[in-house]
Amino acid sequence: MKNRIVKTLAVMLMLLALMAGMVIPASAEPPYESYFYNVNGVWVGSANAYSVSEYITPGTLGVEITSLTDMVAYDGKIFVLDKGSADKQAKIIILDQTFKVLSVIDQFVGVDGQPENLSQPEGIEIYKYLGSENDGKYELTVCDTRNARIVRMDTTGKFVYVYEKPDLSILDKNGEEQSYVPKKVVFDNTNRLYVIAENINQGLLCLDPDGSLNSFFGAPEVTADMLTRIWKKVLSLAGSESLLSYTPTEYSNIVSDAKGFVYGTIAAPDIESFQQALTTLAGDPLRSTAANVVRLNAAGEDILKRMGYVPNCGDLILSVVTLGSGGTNTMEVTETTGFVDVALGTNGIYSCLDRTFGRIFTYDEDGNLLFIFGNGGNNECAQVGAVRSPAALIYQGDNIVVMDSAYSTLTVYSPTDYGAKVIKAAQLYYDGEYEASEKIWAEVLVRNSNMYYAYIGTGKALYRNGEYAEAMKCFREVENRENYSKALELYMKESFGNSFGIIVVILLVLFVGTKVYSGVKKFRAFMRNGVKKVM
Amino acid sequence: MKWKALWNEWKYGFYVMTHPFDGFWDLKHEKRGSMRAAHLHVILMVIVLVCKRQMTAFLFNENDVLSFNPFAAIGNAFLPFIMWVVANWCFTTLMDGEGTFKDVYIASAYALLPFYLINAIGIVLSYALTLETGAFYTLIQAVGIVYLGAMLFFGQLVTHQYSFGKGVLTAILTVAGIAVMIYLGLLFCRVVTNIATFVSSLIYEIRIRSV
Repeated sequence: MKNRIVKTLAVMLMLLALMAGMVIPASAEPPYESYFYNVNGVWVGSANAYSVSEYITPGTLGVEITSLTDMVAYDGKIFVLDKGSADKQAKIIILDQTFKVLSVIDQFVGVDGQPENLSQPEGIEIYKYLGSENDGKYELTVCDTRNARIVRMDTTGKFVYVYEKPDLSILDKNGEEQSYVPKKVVFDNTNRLYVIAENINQGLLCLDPDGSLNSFFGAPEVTADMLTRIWKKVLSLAGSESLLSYTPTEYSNIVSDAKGFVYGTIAAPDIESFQQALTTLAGDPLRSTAANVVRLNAAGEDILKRMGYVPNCGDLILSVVTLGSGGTNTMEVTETTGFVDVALGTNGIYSCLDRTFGRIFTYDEDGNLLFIFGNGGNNECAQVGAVRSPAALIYQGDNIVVMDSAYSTLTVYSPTDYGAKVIKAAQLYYDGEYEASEKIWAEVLVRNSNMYYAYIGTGKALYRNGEYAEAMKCFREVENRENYSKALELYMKESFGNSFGIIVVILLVLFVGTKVYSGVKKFRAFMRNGVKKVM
Repeated sequence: MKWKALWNEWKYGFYVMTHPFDGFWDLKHEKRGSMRAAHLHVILMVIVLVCKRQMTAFLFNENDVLSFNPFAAIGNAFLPFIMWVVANWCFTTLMDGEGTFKDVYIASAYALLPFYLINAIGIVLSYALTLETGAFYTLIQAVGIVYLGAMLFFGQLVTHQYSFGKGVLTAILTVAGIAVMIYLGLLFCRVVTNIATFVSSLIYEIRIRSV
């Protein structure tokens, strides 16, 4: 009898467990809440633009990985760089579109046929031949960081060319030789190299195609205002040192686009200038002082467009960490968004990867915020979609792949229905198909009423349809005064015709009329009573 | 008739507005104005300025209309006026001015009439203007400010029977006085905050130690 009860209970429990498994499906809910910034820079909720579609670990790859540092996608393949460690060989893992391992390069052969080693390489890039030499052939270029060189190799690991340390003697200080620690490299249209090297704060190194130093390039501009300069003169040397941090920030990563411009990210922007720039309007030159992502032209000037409603510099609210307890001894640490990598999507869209929180900020060509997604690893447990220490970011079609160097994982995010619509609308706008893009913005607005950029698109569509009052509502919602003014003008024309001018004239006539009337009254009183009583 | 009298006293502002020298003279010496009408002018000015903050058309309104603090809005409108009155009275007493505090208050209050009238017109007009015709709005605002400045200046000139040069000097001193008042006010707030923080942390410390 007792046995039976136990058996029944056990069966019931098993059934229950089964049912539970059926009721709660393997959910695709990402481990983060998506958010957005409205026109006033206020934090608002948002629909998820991307969700995690794949999660690649060393286990799923079947490759032993020490520490991932960089990756690059080309020719339908993804080249992942494992920097190894002091006693472990570095390797390059070549994956196909579906993240299956095609091959692993862990044996390297020098130009002269001798075996070679890479020492903790940190950057990988594709080298393409130019002009007539270009027959679809490409090579890999790796920053051999600790060996102070950059090597170009074919996809089997055979070196083709070695860019040795360029002549940096102009940077030597006090007879001490300037060290050369190349970390990231990209090529421009003429196959010149742009190199991020540690401890060189003159910007990027621009090397000629043969590897000799051409120039220093795109040093982040450090400006001191008049007051600071005066203070520097007035204060003692020791005092002024603490006042000024003249050292420009170093770039954390670089990418070159199809036109040969170089996008760069900065991991540790200056907090004070950042705070100033957070509340700026589009077109304010102050905005570029919060540049944690830049686009450099051939002269090394930042030409990234910053015309969005909110600055394109990641989070607008400085995250505040409060230490200590008791209410009195609190210390505030404010943190700005630092970017570790930028990836270029199609039609001018680019995404930046936040260093601390693993968030991805996607902007369109003009610098309008499209969406924010992803999550940091400040939580202890490793969840799918949470990135502990973000290292690199690439586009794979519209999918975004994020590399986590702490867990040695790749997280693949793919656009949700909402995200796909936003991308589509932004791309159509870039292509000049305004009417088509406006229709999609209206659909975006249905899914996320906080998406301010969609209001403009919707407003313009309504404006074209002649629904001026509705269009004004849309423009007002996002405080877009120029377009509101245009809609208002036509709205007034529609409702008053040209009678507005007539109304003004009538008011003027009434005003003058009363004046004349009182004048006449005074004059008649003067005629009656003489000068004394009137005065 | 009390209301009729108030109406007449208030209406006298229009005469002052168009004939400042005559008007301010009679305001003081012929008792054409009154304290209660002056209060009415100030109240109307505050109302118009608060309305201006909240009700100006969106195109010309840079304020965050949704976050409205009535005390701050009223203070913003009223404090500059009362500071002008106090500072002006302080300096003119030292500089042989003939006006009493009451005279200064009444004259300054009557000087506000064109300012708030123009602002009221500006609020209505802002709904009918686009950005292209927005220059009119800016013009109207500028006229309002200049008119106010001129009226305040002539008001104190007549009230204290100053020469033009002395009038300019006192006007400048009054503005400087306002700056000093603001400075002292901020300093006072700061000191009070510091003392409060000190006392509260002292209490906190004692509570922790006594446990």
